[in-house]
Amino acid sequence: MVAFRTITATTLNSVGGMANGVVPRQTQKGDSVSIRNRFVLGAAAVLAVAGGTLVAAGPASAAPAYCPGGYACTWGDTNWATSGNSAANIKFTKYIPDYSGWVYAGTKTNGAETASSVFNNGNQDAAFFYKNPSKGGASFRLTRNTGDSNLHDSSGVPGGYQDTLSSGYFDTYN
Amino acid sequence: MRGDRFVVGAIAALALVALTGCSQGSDGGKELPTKNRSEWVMPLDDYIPDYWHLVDYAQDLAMKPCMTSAGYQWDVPWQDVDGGNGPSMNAAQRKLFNPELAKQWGYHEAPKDDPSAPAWRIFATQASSLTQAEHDKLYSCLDEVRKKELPDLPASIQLPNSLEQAAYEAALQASPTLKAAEKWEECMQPAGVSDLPGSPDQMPSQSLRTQFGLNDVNTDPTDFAPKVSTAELRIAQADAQCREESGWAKAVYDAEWERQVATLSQNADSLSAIKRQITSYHKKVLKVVNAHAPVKP
Repeated sequence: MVAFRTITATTLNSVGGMANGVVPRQTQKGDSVSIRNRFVLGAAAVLAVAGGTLVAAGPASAAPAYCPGGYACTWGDTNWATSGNSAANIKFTKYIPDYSGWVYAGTKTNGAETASSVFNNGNQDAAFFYKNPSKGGASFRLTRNTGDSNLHDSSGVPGGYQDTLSSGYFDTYN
Repeated sequence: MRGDRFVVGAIAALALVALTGCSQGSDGGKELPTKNRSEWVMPLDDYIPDYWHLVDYAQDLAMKPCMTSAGYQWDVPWQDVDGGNGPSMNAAQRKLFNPELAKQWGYHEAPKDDPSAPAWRIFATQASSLTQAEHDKLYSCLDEVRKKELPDLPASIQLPNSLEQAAYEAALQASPTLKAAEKWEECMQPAGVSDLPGSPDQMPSQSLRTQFGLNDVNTDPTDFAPKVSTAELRIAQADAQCREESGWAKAVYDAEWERQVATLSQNADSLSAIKRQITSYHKKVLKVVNAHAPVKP
């Protein structure tokens, strides 16, 4: 991609404003599904994740801002930002079968074939990103707590994926 | 954008040189796999790990003492190390589409051949709702496991994926493929797809994806059965049949195969180094799994 774009900072997941008339049905961190009580909470304070906006990253995580724990995130430009705004991302906790139904948070920029940086801040799995919708085409894998700040070059993930991503899945759903 | 895809080959080749310090190599007399178009078997498949799902399993298992000592219950469910991808994905993580799959699943993906998958999906669903504090603790434990027991492989190990894609994209533009795509387009006219693309590679079209629910996200961790309508089956079968009758599927397969053979030959030494790394790493992963796995239920 591409030139810088005009961006405002809100998250897509908490807003709406979808491209192509497709209404994403991506679940959010809180809208789970029968959580059994396997995770017995410690007494540690819970960092706020409200309206899709992460307040701070924890000490063990090198995740970029605005990619909360449990999510895999993409941005339209390098260095985990879209036009200088790190909040303007697209993120998922399970998968996105077609980025064309999504825009970077607070923008009108379509998410399909525009990502230039990615990060996996997920809890459970590696994340896979594909060139075509629904796992089509070539893919690369990002382990937990890793990312690639520049898909244009060949450091990190081998080159050739900039402005090509069309779907993303955590391995559980892959 | 899609036009950029052809840059992949050059970039991938440069990256391969950077990764291994080699630019050329003989094929060393390596045997090619047996051609199998329904499974889309390719020469580079052998250089792409088919055990990625076990890496997270191994690391999660090894994290249990750390998580437990921090006050968390961390019951990683047993997983079948031989669990398969299911018929819709091959071992090299390429998505398959052929008349048999289209007849049964349309454009949807068939469920995995892995009886341990449901328990893992439930576990993953629970893990996806960790608080930020829990997430931070988890990553602290993960770091410990990566330092002491099972480090990750570098992302550059995935270079063969890029090389495969470069071969595929070149195959899409080969003359026999383009001619066959025109025949496919004619063959598909009776199906009445309003936004029929010029190449089968772009199917299902956006209108079909919306109509068939392919953009939806399944939020039920226990529901593995795709919802396939009769309309989807009709279009998908017509599509798969037209890919065969037009010769498109065979043209792409043969062209990609030829290009991969050339890639393999040109980079044999480098790819062999990657193969050694992924083989060695597989043994490490299995060792960690065997040391920590719970009893099969």
